[in-house]
Amino acid sequence: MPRPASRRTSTAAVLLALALTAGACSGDDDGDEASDSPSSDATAQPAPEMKVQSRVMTVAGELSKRKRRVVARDVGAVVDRWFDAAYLGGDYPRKHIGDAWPGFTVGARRLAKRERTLTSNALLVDNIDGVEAVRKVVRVDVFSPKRRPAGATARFRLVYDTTGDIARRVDVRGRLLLTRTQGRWRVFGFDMVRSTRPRKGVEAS
Amino acid sequence: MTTRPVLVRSLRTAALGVVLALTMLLVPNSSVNPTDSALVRVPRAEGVDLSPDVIWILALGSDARPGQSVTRSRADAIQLVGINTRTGAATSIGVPRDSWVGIPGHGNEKITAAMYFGGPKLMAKAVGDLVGIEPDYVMVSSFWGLRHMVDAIGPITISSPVAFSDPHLRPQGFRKGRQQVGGMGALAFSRTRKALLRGDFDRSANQQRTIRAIHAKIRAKQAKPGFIEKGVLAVLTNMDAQVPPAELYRIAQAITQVRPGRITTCVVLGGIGNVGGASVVFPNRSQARRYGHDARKDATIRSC
Repeated sequence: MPRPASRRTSTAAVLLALALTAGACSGDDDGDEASDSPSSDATAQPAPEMKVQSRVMTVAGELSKRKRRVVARDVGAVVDRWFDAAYLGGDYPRKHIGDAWPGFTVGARRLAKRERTLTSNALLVDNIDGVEAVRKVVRVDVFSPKRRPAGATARFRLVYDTTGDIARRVDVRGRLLLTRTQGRWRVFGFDMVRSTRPRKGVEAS
Repeated sequence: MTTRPVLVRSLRTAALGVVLALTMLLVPNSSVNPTDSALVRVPRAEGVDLSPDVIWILALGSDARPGQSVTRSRADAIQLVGINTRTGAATSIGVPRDSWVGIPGHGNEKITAAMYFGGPKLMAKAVGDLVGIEPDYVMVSSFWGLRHMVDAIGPITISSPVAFSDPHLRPQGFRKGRQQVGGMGALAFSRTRKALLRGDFDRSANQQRTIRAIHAKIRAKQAKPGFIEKGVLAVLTNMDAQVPPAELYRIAQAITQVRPGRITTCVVLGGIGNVGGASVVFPNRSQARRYGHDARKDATIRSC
């Protein structure tokens, strides 16, 4: 069935935008600081309902083993919720990305929304049929004075494949900055990059 | 026809030729395999939420000796630091410690005495009255606190505009230009006064150079896992920062977002005088106010 002209135009515009800003071949899947194994995921099989791998790497201050596990779990959950809301979840294609930043402070959400083409799938949302997670890794560095975790840097890496008009492997990596107040971890800052490349052996539908 | 236009034209032609030659060398023809090299802009998104967008921190170096209260001694270094989390700009306004000002409840005194009389809050009031900006936070560090903090992050690179030495603090001195120093060197660089041509004013400027150097070090190492967390812990241990740890952590992360090219620093100047036998600085109040007015909303001073 021929696609509507408006969608073809929009796809071309998005491809151009990706080429200009995202770096068509700007990265491979190796060597990331959040990686937990040296092997490439270029051939990894998509895993349905993939769970995030979250682990505490460094602690400034003191934190018991039990609390380390709790911090890894809770920070990992916050990051994973953002992965789902911003990139992986929901129906595709759709017109709007919606609220892609759960767990962010009001100010951080405002900043992230301003950068939504990077901090979410806003650029692709109308031109893909679906996404499949390839890798979800979170490594946490904890600030824990007086044995109480107060802040954390979540070094993350999310790799996913898109299907549809734009079939790409997307690699999002960087840091989310969190503080723990009133028992909840909230994201107050971010520093991230994204790269995309065509998927090997896959042509756009 | 004179020789000069011909020469100019020849130079232009030669320059154009060089540019074209370089362009041919550097920009491959489209028929050449385009994957041999590439220049790709990797888009980056960054931001830190710290309300309000511009925060002001009064950074004080206390001259407390071991056993003395850090927050009830005189302030040897007085820097009012503004950070704009929206633009990544930052500024530091240096106030000479001997500035002769009105201190609420204590008449006219050297501004350094405000902390001795009333702790960090009175110091914040005195600096706020002079510059016109009330700081949001006051952070007080002792001599050894600064030394330990610099030692914790590793050597920093300071840039001295002149060579100078101090027989007590740094007999071997500092040479003109960039040099690496550890905690002790950073302390000597920030404290030495008598060896400098403009005394207190130049010392205040050197304190700002130390702040820049510390910031550059933090920026360079911020991506190292756990570096910021360890740094904040060192600050908490060595500085009397009367804010919750989570808030301190947010401030520290905001500092890492400051861009070196957007840092401006100025020192409040003034005349040297004598009051009751003591050497004092009569600060240029209109200049201090101008700095405050200029930087209040965006943490940027256009010119000193």
